[in-house]
This record gives sequence, C-alpha cells and structure tokens, in this order.
Amino acid sequence: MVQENKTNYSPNGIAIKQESDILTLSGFDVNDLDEASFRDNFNYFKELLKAKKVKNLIIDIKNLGPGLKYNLSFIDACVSFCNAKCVKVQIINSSHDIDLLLKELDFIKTHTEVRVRHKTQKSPSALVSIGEGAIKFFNDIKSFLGFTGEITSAMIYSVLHPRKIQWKETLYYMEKTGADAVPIVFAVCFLTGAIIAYQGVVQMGRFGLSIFTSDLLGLAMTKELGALMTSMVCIGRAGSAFAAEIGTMQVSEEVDAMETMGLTTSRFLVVPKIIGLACVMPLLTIIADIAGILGGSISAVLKGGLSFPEFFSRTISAITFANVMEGVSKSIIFAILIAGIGCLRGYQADRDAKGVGRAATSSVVSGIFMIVVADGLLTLVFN
Amino acid sequence: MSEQKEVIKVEHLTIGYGESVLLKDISFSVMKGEIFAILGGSGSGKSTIIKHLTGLHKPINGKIFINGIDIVTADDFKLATLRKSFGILYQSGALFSSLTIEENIALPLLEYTTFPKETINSIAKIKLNTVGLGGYEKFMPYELSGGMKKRAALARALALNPEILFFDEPSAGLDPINSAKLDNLILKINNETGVTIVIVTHELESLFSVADRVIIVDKKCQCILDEGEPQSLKGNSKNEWVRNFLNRKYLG
Repeated sequence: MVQENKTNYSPNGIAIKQESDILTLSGFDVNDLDEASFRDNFNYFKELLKAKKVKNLIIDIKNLGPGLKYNLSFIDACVSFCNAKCVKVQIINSSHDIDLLLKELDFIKTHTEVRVRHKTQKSPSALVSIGEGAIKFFNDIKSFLGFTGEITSAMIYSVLHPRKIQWKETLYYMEKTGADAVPIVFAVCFLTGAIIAYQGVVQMGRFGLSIFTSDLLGLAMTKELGALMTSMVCIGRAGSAFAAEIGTMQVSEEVDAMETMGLTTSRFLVVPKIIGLACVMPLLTIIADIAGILGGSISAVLKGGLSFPEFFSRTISAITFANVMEGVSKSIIFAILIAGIGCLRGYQADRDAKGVGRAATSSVVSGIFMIVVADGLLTLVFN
Repeated sequence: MSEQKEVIKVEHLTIGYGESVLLKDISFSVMKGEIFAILGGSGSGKSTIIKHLTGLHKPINGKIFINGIDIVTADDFKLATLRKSFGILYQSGALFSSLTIEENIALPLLEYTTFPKETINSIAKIKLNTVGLGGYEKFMPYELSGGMKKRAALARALALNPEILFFDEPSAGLDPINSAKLDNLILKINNETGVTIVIVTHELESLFSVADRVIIVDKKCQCILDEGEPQSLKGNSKNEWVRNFLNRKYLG
C-alpha cells in the first residue's frame, strides 16, 4: 500500500493534512474564517472524510484565540461530523483559556460524552438487563398498588360526601364514553354476533342441530362477549383518552397546580372518570347483547334456514336473567379497570409530547391485558 | 421589613432528580411580607426549588420549614392543610382547561369554604377585577391570550387569600409591556395584602423592579453564588460572575 501523505493549505491558512488513517487540522491561529471560506473548507473536509478511510482526527488548536468565532464553530462542526461517522477526535495543544471557553460552550464535554457512549453502549450484560427489568417490574407493581389505594380512598370519600363529586365532569364523561360510543358498540357487536351465529349454523347444521345456534349465541353474548367487546371499544375510546388527558395535564402543570392548591387530584381527575364509565358500561353491554343477538339472527335466518320467531323464542328461553346480570356485573368491574389504568398511565406519562403518546398506547396495551385476565378470573368465580 | 419573621427556612438542602444533583447544601430564608427572588440561568434548578418548597418533590437531603413546620417529614394531611395557605402561578398558568375562568377560581373556594354559590361567584368576580380581567368570567382558558391566562391563574392563586405566593417565571413568554404590567400587579398585591412572595425568574428587569432580596443559584457550582438586595449586588457583589450577570455583561 502506498502511504498517502498530503497537506492541503486552504486560503485562510487552515492546514488539512492526512497520514494514512489520521487526519490533522491545524493553523487555526492565523485569522478567522469568513462565511464563504467556512463553507469551502467544511465541504473539502467532508469529502476527505467520505472518500478516505479516516479513523482518527487530530485538531491542533495552538494559539487559537477566543475571538476567532468562525474557527471555533468550524471545529465544532468537524467534531460533530466525526462523531456521527464514529471517527475518533483528539484536540491537542489547547491552552488553559481555550479549555475554559470550550467547557463554557459545553463543547468538549458533550463531544467526549458522545464518543464514550458509542463505546460503552454496545451491550449491557444479560444479567444487568434482567435485573433492571425486574426492578422496573416491581416499581410498576408498587406504583399500581399505591395508585389503587389512593383511588379506593378517594372513592370512599366520594361515596361518603356525594356533594363533593364533580357531577358536571361525571356527566360529561358519561356522554363522551357512553352515548357517543353507542353506534360503534352496536356495529361491532352486531357483526360479532353475525359471525358467531354463522359459524354455529355451519358447524352444528352438519348434525342437524342448527336451532341450537340460538342457545350458543344468546349465552355467549350475554355472559361473555357483550361485556368483552364493549370493553375493547371502551379501552380504545375512553382508556386512551383518559391517559392522554391526564398526561397533557401533567405537561401543562395542571396536576401540579392542583396538588399545590391542596386538592386531591385523584378525587378531581380520577373519580369522575371511573363513576362515569362504570355507569355507562353496563348500559352499553346490554346494547351490545341486543346487537349481537340481532346480528346473529340475520345469519341464522339467511344461512341456517331458521325463521325469526323461532330463533328469538329459542334465544329468550335459553337466556336467564342471571346470565344477563353476569355480563353486566362483569362490565362494571371492567369499567373500573379501564378507567383506572387509563388514569394511572396518564399520571406516569413523561412530560413531553412523546410521553403522552406512549401513555395512551400503554393504557390500551395494559388495558386489554388486564381485561382478559380479569375476565378469566371472573368466569371462574361465576361458574 | 418591620417584623423579621421567617416564613420559609431552608437548611442544607440538596435537590435533584434521581441520581443527578442540581443544587447541593443550600440554605436561605424568606421573611414575612418580602418579595424574594430566585435567580439563575436556565436549567440551574430554580423551578425545582419551588417544587420542593411546595412539597411536590422530596429533597435528597436537608430540611424545609414553612411557618415552623418541617414539610419534608410532614404527613399528607399536614401538608394539605399547609398548602391551603399557598398560592402558585406556574409558567404556563396551568388553568384547568375543562372549566371556565370563573369555575377555575371557584374550585379552591368550593373545596375549602362553606360559602354559598353567590358569595363564591362574587369573590371570583372581585379577584378577576383585581387582576384586570373583569368580564371574562364565562370564558374558557383556551379563549384567552398567554398574558391573560397568567393573570387569570394569579386570580385563582389569590382566591383563598394565601400567605405565600409562588411565581414560577411569571414573565416567561410575555412581551415587555405585559410583563411590566404583571410586575406592577405583583407589587400591588404585595403592598395591599402583605403577602410573602417567592418568585423564580431569569428576567433582570422584573428582578430589579419587584424583588426585595434575591439569591442567585448556579448550575456549575451547584450552590448559591450570592444573596442580597439586587441593586447592591449589581454594584458590589463579591462574585464577579454575579456582577456581570446583573449588568448583562458577557464574558467573551
């Protein structure tokens, strides 16, 4: 290999010298760059760095005065560029004054930090990751328990002092999460019912039992699916909205303002949401049950050759009041979970726009998980 | 100040977030009725001091006494009682966005008093007039400009006739005229009610026009650089950096 050894002097006296994989910049002491020469020099520097396999950059700042501002920003630009390309940078011949100035500008600190991070960020050992994960998990559980306790005490206080409940807010949430959700809940459950009945008619029809589709559908909708599908819609509509709302209030310091005014935030922000959702979700669940059975009846009649009166009378005789109540009481518990998780994630949100987004996402994810787990447990309890 | 009573007393306070320490071992006290300023560059932890004084954050180390009560070890109930005597104005105003201006001001009153609704409404009206926002009772926060929001938030902070008012960068985001108006309002409130005011700022103009005493905190030394009356610090601070800062001089 032929060693390349070339020195290029720019018009302003900055010397760019290359020796194999080391590039040296020097001559910053003569005079300051101007706008045009800054651009020219920097373009030349970038080309060199791109074309040649430079691994080290040495910047000689002998006699660099604090007044040479363009020179300083030129060095800054070069160092940033090298950091982006993972080229090692070394600053030599620095005087005490310049060191102070560079420190003042956060120059050396940030750049060396960036370089160190490139090195160390590679891979923390598996043990460390597991440990950190476990700590995070336990902290999560701890804050969840703390929050549950806080909400419980706020709810008890509200029940004992009903006049202190924010009724206006509660009604607002009832409208937003209840009345406004009726079309989507109806549509989702209508289709779910239709799909299940279709499968029932096809599978059971093979044994000549397609009439039992009505039993299957009626029980499945009232006991399980009505509440479950309503929960899914409410997690998406209400839970994420609650998380985003409280998260945004954190960003705008409204939560802090409430706390310093001595107001219990859980009583003002969480209780109206929980009460609102817990009031409307049972009603939504009943609508969902009806929608599902209607949807199923269409499938059963069109595909299974049943008649509407036959289907409905069979369904009604199959469902008991207890079945409907099972779904409805589940939905109250789901409502409390959904609103509680939405609010918790809102409180935990980082105080920036991305934090609010993450809070909304995580409220949906953990909401779905909790609902499914709770549904499993409740089904065991009820049967 | 005729009676030199310490309202806030901070002893050897160390604050920060997690492991990163912002300020180390600082001590100061605020006298009754004075306007006390905390000055410092961006990121020096001035707003964090307020969060500690109001008990939102727990310090890493040290003690904070307000009216003789140690708020670091105080339980939630004591803290809540103490907080009733606080008024606070945040950088962004932090009005509750789902309530009208009137309801915002009425909220603490509804919570802590047994006044009938009419009385509460008239108190809200009076407070809004104090800050020059009469007639805006039924507006929603998003319908007001930045300066008006701050004044409305000030009206809310005044609702319970607080003993201590905290201001977190009151002039941030305001034009010079509106910020001067707010300064006059701060002086007026202090004169009329004798309330103790703690104000966090980096605006020199408002510092010189309102503050009786100031502490200057710094990110690098994590300490209080100097303490005293703003005008005298401007001329004779021991610390060169403080003199330059107060005289708007940049060390090139």
